[in-house]
Amino acid sequence: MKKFICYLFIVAMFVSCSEEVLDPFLPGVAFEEQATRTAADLNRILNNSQAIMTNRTEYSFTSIFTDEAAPGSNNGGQGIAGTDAYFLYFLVPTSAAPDAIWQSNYNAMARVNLVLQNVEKVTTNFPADANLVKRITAEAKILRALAHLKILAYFAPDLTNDASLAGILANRTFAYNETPPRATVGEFYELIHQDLDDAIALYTTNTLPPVTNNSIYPTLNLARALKARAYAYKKNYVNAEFWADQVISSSGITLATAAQLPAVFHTHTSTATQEVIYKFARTAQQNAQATNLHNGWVSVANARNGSPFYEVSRSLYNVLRNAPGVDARKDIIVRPEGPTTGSLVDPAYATSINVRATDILVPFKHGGAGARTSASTFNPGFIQVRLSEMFLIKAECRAAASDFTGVALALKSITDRRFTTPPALLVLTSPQQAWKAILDERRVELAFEGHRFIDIKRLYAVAGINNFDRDPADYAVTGLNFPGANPANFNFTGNYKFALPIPQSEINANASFGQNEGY
Amino acid sequence: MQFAFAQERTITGTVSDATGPVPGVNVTVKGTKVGVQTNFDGTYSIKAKTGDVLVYSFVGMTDTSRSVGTTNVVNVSMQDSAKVLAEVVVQGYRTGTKKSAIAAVATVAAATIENRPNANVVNTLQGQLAGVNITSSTGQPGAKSTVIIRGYGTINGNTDPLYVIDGFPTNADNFRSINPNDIESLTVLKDAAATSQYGNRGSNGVILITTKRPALGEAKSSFRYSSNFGVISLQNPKYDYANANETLRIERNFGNGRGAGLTDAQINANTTDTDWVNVFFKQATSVTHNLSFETSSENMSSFTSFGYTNQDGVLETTGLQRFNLRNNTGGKSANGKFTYQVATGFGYSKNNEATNLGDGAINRNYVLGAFLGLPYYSPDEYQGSAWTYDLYNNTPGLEATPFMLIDKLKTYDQETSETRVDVATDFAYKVSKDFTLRTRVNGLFLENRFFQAEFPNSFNALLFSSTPGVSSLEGGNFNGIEDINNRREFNFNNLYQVAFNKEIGKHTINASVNYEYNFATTNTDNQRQRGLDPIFFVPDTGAGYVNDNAANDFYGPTGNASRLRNDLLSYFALADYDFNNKYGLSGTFRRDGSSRFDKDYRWGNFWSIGGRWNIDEEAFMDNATFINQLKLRASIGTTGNQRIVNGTVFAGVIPPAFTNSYSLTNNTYNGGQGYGFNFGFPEAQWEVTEQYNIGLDFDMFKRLRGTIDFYNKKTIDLFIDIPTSAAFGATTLRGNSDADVTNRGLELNLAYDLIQKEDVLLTLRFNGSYNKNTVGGIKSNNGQIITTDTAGYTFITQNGGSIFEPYVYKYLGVNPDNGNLLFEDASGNPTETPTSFDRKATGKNFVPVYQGGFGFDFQYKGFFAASTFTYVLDAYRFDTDEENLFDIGNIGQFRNSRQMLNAWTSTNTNTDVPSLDATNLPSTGDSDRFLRDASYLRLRNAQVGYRVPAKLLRGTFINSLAFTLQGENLFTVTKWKGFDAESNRTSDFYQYPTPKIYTFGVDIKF
Repeated sequence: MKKFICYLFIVAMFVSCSEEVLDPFLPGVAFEEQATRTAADLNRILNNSQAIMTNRTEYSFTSIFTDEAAPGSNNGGQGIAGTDAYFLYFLVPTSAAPDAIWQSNYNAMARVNLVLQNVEKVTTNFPADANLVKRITAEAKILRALAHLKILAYFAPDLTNDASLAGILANRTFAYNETPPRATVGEFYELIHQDLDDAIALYTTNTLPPVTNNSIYPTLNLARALKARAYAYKKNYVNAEFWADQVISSSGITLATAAQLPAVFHTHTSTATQEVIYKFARTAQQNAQATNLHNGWVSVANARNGSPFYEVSRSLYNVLRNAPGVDARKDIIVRPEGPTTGSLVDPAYATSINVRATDILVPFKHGGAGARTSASTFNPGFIQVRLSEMFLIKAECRAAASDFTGVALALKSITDRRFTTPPALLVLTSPQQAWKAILDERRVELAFEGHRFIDIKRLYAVAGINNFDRDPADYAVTGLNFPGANPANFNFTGNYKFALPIPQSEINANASFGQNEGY
Repeated sequence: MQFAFAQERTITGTVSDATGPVPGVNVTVKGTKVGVQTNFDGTYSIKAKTGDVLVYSFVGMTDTSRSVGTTNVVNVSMQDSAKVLAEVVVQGYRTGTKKSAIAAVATVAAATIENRPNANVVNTLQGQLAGVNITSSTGQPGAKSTVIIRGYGTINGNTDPLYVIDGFPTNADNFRSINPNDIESLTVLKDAAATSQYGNRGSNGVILITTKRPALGEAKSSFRYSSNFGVISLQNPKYDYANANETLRIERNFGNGRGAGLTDAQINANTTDTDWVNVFFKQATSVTHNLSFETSSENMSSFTSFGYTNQDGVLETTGLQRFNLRNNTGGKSANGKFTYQVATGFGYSKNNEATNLGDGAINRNYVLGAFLGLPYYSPDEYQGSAWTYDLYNNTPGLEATPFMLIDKLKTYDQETSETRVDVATDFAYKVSKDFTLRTRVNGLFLENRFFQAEFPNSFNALLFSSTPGVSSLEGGNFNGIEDINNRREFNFNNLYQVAFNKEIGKHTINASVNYEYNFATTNTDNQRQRGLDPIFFVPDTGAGYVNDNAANDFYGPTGNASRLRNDLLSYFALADYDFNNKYGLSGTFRRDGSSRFDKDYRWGNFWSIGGRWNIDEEAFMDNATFINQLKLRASIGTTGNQRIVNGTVFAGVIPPAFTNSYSLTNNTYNGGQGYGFNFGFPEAQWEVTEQYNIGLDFDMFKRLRGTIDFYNKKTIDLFIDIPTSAAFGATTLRGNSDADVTNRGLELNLAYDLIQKEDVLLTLRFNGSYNKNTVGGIKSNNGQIITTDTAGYTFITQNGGSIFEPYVYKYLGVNPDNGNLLFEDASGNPTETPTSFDRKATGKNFVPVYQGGFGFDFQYKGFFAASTFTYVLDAYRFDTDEENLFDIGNIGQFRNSRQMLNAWTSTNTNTDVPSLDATNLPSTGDSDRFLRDASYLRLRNAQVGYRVPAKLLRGTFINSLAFTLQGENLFTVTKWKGFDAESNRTSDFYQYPTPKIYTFGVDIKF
């Protein structure tokens, strides 16, 4: 029995000192107090927000749902099958694109709000960093405004009606079990402008430390440009014009010339004062098929042998090719003809029995020939706002004021820089003609940049159009043979699909949120 | 004294113990080498003379002897040797007899496992155990099977049972390096009375594996050699594939691909017709050798075995090679007070797997090429990587799919080598008559080395090169990649036990208090070399690595490493009480801590109470002589699950589930670093399963044996991906929710001896289960969670329904007026444009409601035959492979169904195939059009054999010699049209189907 007692004693010893083994072993994990201490910490969280917002879905979805792109020679079901058959106007709450747009913006905003929540603490602890924190605050607020503006544009049925419903007002951090209600368009605009005004005030009343490259961080210019965009969405054209003019006159950014366009779009080597107001930066190290912008349309490269599953639509190509004079944007948007890598243009495409193989219009805008799917190689940034949009907004403002010459002049400011020989001033005589001219110019100028869907939603009525401009070669039985993609199947008037469905993932958590009508 | 010619006769009989027949009992003629083993039903047949003494021996039972008299039938009832050798029988934390068992358990003995041609032992159990759903979801030799015991008890958490190998509880569920022939028995614990012994990890059931060990006793030794050779082939699908010329016609009808615009004569001129299945799949072979020897003496015994297995997969490039060594040694001190067991297993395996199974990577997934490759191309056209790249460039690229994959067959190499060392020990010392001290120290070491190489200048290397298509030999940059990943896993387990056993008159008490510590850790270090010089490159040697240089940042290795750890600490007490072998009670209480949770939530308490009533022992049963045994059992209790995330044991350890945390991310924005923000669920804690069980064990007419169990198993504090508003910053948060999942079911296990004659024995067996899975308590979205899987199908998990029911509109057929698809809308009317409101929960599910197995064992003299059928009823999955055959997007690039020729046209309106020009084809995926009944009945195993009569072996060194021919998955009756009805996935596409296997084996004992 003596032995037994000893043994039990040993057991007890072992037991009493061993509970610390249950303390979790967590290498590589930091907690709130370590990770939100300094301005550098906040910057890193903000980097993460921008990375999350760098999402190509809005670009690819817009192009394939509208009339910018069409199924390509190497289409393996993308855009034409299942819940993601956007080319056939298919859109349901479980579709991936609305979900990605919704999630990427809100996920980014949750982290932006984390930054804003910790600003005060950092400033108190490190007064020397006060100005840096102010810049971070301004950047965070501008990003939040940008994200709200996107949610508004895609999910609100009516962008001009303050009572119309938009999304969640992400003005703070939320707990996992909160079910925030659906805010109105009016509340969205209020927060967007408040954030932008705050940012503008921070920039204009302080001397904030500069960033390395103005075009890839949210700057004063971006804040102003977004105000112009927000007012244009609201059709508050008086204010829109004020802010557009301010960007045009004071940003220091100039429109790129025809010769400079490749540097802007294909190599991303343009200077910080050329054309681009804001783009999400991408580095060679981030090259990955799942996230590269160009891989929204092609598997491998912007080349005929780069496995394009989407191509530039025939109708857009025809617009570019038939332009009066030489529009440099044609060779920006569509890869020029050439062997193996170049586009294959079939003059008889309309009667080709196998148009998919004989007429291959390679998407080229994002990254040009240099964009690859290969580790540590060039992949293009995600251009978000350019100066030309300010001129287009100005044109809208002029149209709203029935100043048709003003419209033509604003548009000419752009086309002068895009055509090798400046084209003649448009002669516009009716509001509808003016709006249509603006919409057409936006289609070409902003092609593949995620605008077309929103632009049609905003302007189809005043421009007097009711269907997408798709060429039969891209859908008819005689062409690619996707009869469901016939533009006649999607009339604009009263179409509920201009407001994307609230994603099922949100409804799962937030049932009382409500679905957009029609889904 | 009378003299007579001694005549040798055949003695047959059944060996049973208190609970029924005992398989695997060694029956020998004393003083000779003649010996046999009882089969699965406890029957045996042996040549002996009058006056011979037959010795019956079995692990854990007292040796029994019978003299051969006048009768030819000798039935033997053996006694559990628990009292004598209790310390040697290692089964869970308890030792007990079958009669006194209170728990719902099911056991499979060595006879069922041995020499079956499945590289993974778990695979062999299919159809053997009531209530245990085993699915091998891939044909990869040795791959892990999915084991679900009594239904899915969790929605998003882990569902793997706990495996206890020789008393060592481990979650290492990878059995590809374990030799099935070393296994003595395999027991599944199902109810709370049993599983709560393993309270901290018992929620999904427990599988006890005991490896072979001879009993102590008479000094003897024996040898055994067995070998089998197998031929393995693909199971054929029932799809209606279009041949080459039909494919061309479909293409012409649609206006895409090579067939577009061709005339009939041009189409008929084509003579190439390739079935790419034959290119990527092959007939494979397997071979195994096992040599073992046992020695035993009064104080020591040991079992030693060597095994070698080489099994090729039916898919090209796949296979498994394995070498095993095992030594189990046990014994006792001369005074019998100290006993010990040391079980040591060493396994080394080399495994070649296919990558990208189940995804649409046309340049990487061989199965995709096999199922979808265009038949008018011939594999003979392939002329190397550069040629393939050219073809890809000059045809619409997807047509080149089969050639890209042929290129990968030749220019891609991959292997996982694994070393596994299992050491399980048990030391016990009987300090007094009533008290025993026991300790176990167990360790499992697993080392994996994985390499894969995409050869330089292969098609894929050229495609993703920084100088696309230009070989490094022609001035391009160096391309190709090689990965080398190392992973180590170490599991350690330490148990201290004080056991108390006391018998006072008719009262027996067994009790123990225990302390247990479990530790599991893994390290990984991975490297990837980019840029390989084709002149020097040799896979997996490091030769030909090109280093980073100023001009090219791409070259050179990148690496990463990780270390993860999970600790568990437990205190528990077990108690059993028996009165006069008639009534029994058992109780368990555990307190378990896990390092996975925060301090305040890391401890969980689990308990169980069970009771039994051996009705046959009652006086009032004395007249019911037809009843040999009747026992009623009941239990109730709880178990826990700490594995928040499905996956390995280490899944969900980092980032921690219980708190918000930050992680460092590189190259996050403009080259700057970022902080990843991970959300935690602060109250993350044990997931608890409450279960009650009522069971009946019976043995009647000396012919019919069986068990019936009813159970109700409810999981609360359920780990789910709690849906969150996007404003929170994530779609879902993994945590304990208000939701619960209940599995309620019935299990039946029966065996009936139809013929019990001297020479002929025929036993029928059946087991089956019914399991109803019900979800409750979901609060969000009116009790519904709607999810979409990677294939795009939508499922609903809602209160009152089962988990992951397809959430679809009903497909009604083709509109004869326009060839569009017709669906049923919410109010039951046909529509061509259904909306999300028309979706309905189907009540169907990929988990079968009914499943089980049945078969027979037959013996006639030296011949024997056995079969096992498995069945699964009421299981539904999406057949995406079939959907692909009807996908118009595939026309011109991939193979289609012949039925596409019968698609609706204005002149062919009475058809069930929609028009190729239908405008609403995308709605297909949201409908039940390709939701298929995956019920099946399968001849899982059939074997015939012959055991050479002992008299022919007399005078040789051989004691026993048997030949066996067997087949696995010989045929399947099912509505499922695909390659394999068996799968644990909600939808199936481009997967590696399980094969048919035929083997011939020989088994020699000497």
